Amino acid sequence: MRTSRRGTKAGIAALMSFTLIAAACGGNDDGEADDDASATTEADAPEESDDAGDDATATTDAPDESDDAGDGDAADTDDEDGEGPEIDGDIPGGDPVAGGTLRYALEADVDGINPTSSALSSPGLMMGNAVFDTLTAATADGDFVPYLAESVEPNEDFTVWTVTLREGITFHDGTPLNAEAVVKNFETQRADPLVGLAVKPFYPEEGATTIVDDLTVQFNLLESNRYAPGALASQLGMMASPAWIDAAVADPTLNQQPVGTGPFKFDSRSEDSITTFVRNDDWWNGEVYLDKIEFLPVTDTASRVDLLFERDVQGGQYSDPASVGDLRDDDSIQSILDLSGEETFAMINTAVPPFDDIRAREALALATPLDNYRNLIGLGVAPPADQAYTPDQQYYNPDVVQVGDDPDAALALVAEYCAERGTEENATLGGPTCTDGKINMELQWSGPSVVQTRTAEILDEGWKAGGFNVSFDELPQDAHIQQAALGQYNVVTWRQFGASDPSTDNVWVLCRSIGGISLNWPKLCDEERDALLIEAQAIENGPERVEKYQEVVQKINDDYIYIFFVHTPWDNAFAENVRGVCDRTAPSGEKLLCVTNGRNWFDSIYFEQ
Amino acid sequence: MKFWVSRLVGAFALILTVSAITFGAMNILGDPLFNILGPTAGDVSNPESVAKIEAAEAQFNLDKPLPVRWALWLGDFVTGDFGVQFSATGQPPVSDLIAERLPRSLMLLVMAQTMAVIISVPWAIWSAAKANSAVDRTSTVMTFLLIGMPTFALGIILKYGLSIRFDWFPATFVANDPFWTRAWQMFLPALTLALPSAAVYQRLLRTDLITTLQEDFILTARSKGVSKRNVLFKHALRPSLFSFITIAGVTTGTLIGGALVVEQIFRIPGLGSAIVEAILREDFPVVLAIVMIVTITFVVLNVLIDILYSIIDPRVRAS
Repeated sequence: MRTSRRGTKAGIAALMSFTLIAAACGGNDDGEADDDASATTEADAPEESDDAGDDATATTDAPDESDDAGDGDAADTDDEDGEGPEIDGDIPGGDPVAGGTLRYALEADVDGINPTSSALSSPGLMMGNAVFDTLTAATADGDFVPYLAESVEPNEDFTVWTVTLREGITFHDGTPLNAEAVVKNFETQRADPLVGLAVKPFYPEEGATTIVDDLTVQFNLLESNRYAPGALASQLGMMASPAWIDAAVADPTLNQQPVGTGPFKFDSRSEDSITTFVRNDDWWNGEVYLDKIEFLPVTDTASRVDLLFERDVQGGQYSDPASVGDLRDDDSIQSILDLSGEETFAMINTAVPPFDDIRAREALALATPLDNYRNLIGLGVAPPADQAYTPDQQYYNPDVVQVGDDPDAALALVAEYCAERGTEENATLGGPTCTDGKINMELQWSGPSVVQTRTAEILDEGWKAGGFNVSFDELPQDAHIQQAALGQYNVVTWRQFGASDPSTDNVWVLCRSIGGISLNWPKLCDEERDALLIEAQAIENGPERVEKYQEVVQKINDDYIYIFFVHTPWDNAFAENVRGVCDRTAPSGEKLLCVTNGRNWFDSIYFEQ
Repeated sequence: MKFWVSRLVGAFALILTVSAITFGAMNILGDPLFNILGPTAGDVSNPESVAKIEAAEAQFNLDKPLPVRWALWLGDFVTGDFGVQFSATGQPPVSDLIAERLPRSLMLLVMAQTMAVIISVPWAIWSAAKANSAVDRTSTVMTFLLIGMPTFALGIILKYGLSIRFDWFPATFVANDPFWTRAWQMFLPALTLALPSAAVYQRLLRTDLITTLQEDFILTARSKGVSKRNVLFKHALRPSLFSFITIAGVTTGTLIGGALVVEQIFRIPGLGSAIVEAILREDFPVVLAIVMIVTITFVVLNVLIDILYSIIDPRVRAS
């Protein structure tokens, strides 16, 4: 029996949640959209080998002849990127024991687990981690090493990456993993209307891949990118059975029954209730210990925490500060905290009135009640954010401090805007941009979500005082993402960024990601910013690269396209008898990253007897 | 005969009206193309996307006038074809979803109604036997409390108190657990639905019992030396059940509504969560199918209650 303070909170939260007329479908805890990009951080895992970094470097087989290849690892981010996951509690290694079923609480369910066609958010990627393997993997040091691949080698100018696969790996349906399978995955992703947006900007329309032999594929990039292997460590690198991909194209309901090469095989799925994976006894990368994993989507965050406290589940993912604080305070819970990942922010659509005018955007930023948000939502658990990097990350720009909490300054700008452009149409709302000297706008978020509703209320209070009439629009997560992609919004609350190498986040800001369907969601094109980003992905990590990213941070701040609130506190929490979460290793022996942006892996997990 | 014919015609008209209103509302309020095509549905500047949009409109009859679409849908529905879900990741048949979710909701409703009857009948008899005593007055206060309390509040209190705080009941429902485990997981949700209904039943049955207990035939039975217990159970209960059965039928509709809420609180993926999600996603075929199932269930139950009346009280049949 638990009688801690969180019980009271659970009751209050549950009562509040009901005002939403029932927390229903797949909105996540924070209800925010989640980026699909690879996002990794350096883990301060116990028993970390001192020379892990050097080992990791060697495995990518970067050309030694390149002077500027640094220590030889083209994918090496030299991750001085500051704080990695902080492990709170005891998750020691030991002698793994096979057996047991891990029940794991996800923040939402997903509408498909197909890396080639589903826009996988954190819960989708989590289930994907069970059933799929990636071509590369992030190490605990923040480097990327070959995983399904035997080697990943660049040419001299890093425009061509040659991936050679390991021999003898088969998918769960018996199909071999070969070069054709890799190309099938790549081309299917590229053809998908949404997933393809993360691929297309970086490859030529023709000749994006070349099959060299049965196990070797070349990826031919549009530009030089030293950090390209990072993109192959997440959704874009997840390899699905080509036979299943074909079948799922013909019958998309098969998107619910994934077939990969991973440590677990798909077993059964009852949407909104449970998805089950069973051990793959023939896994190519060693022994898998758990008999079974059962994923339970639990959208209500308080319920999800309670399930872990009551041991109805043995693990779960959490990102709202109240829950993270409670979990961290409980000695019986093992928490793996990651404060260096995604950011939580408001995002502004610059393509249509009123926020196509920088005065309106600046006014919104000025009126934003940052202190209230950080105190009432962040609760001191989530570190305040002014930009996409934390102060201990090398790319952090100390000169950038967001404006906010200044409604008087906002009112002046709003008055100026409304006097000039107040009669134009706000296409999202279908009325004028201004009424009675105030800017009309819509705030959209993904729900139902208690945290998001409270966030909306807090923002509304500040924005109202700053001269804005705010309408609310709460949507299921997929509809929310779609509308953002189509630019059918004024302002949305969002969760994004946090890749250990910033080049992986380029897709969100490049001009070429703007179109009818955009991943540059704010739809703001800045050619100078693009040039900086492209240059930065081509050069070795060092002061020059850092300077470029700091300049990008300044530009983003000056454009008022994002209003950063906090660095999202992700917590992958486990019961006390769960072991081995951070014992993952690559085939070459490197210790692999164990959590990133709320996602962990399952191949090394076992129960203490 | 005329009575039954008019009842059936009325029921049929009700079902048609509900289907027309629901169909019209869903089709006017939203654009299902987003669910079928994803963001492509809004990418009208791209000729490739426009071709896909037109193809989808033709495939799902979205290019036809609303009344035609309704007639087409109705024609399919009466033949048992509920159509396909509007989903960007495939269009599985709605019947698959219903087949998966309906048993859970039915189980919840049956458990709730059974509990309500089991709780309310002895409670009402006990109260009627001690009418106007302190226990009866306390019982009355309790019933008002349960009737007045919204289902969501009761559900949260029960969940917090009995599941989270004391850990007496499971806090979640897991669809692939064994049947009896699932039944146990549904105990608290069913109790949440049952308690307010039980309170209503208790109030009515108690009142009817008190009235019946003042009838002459009861006095005759007592004067013949029939025990108070036998008078209550054998003589007074049956004639007092009329209102009870009426309200049990009407309450079934309320229970269905309450189940939508309770399923959310206790994380039961039944028809309740399905319809909430479908409304939010504008997945019209799912909404329509569930609304029709609920409506038809409600109508059928009420017809059954009419039949039950005539069994309990033959005067209904005669009239």
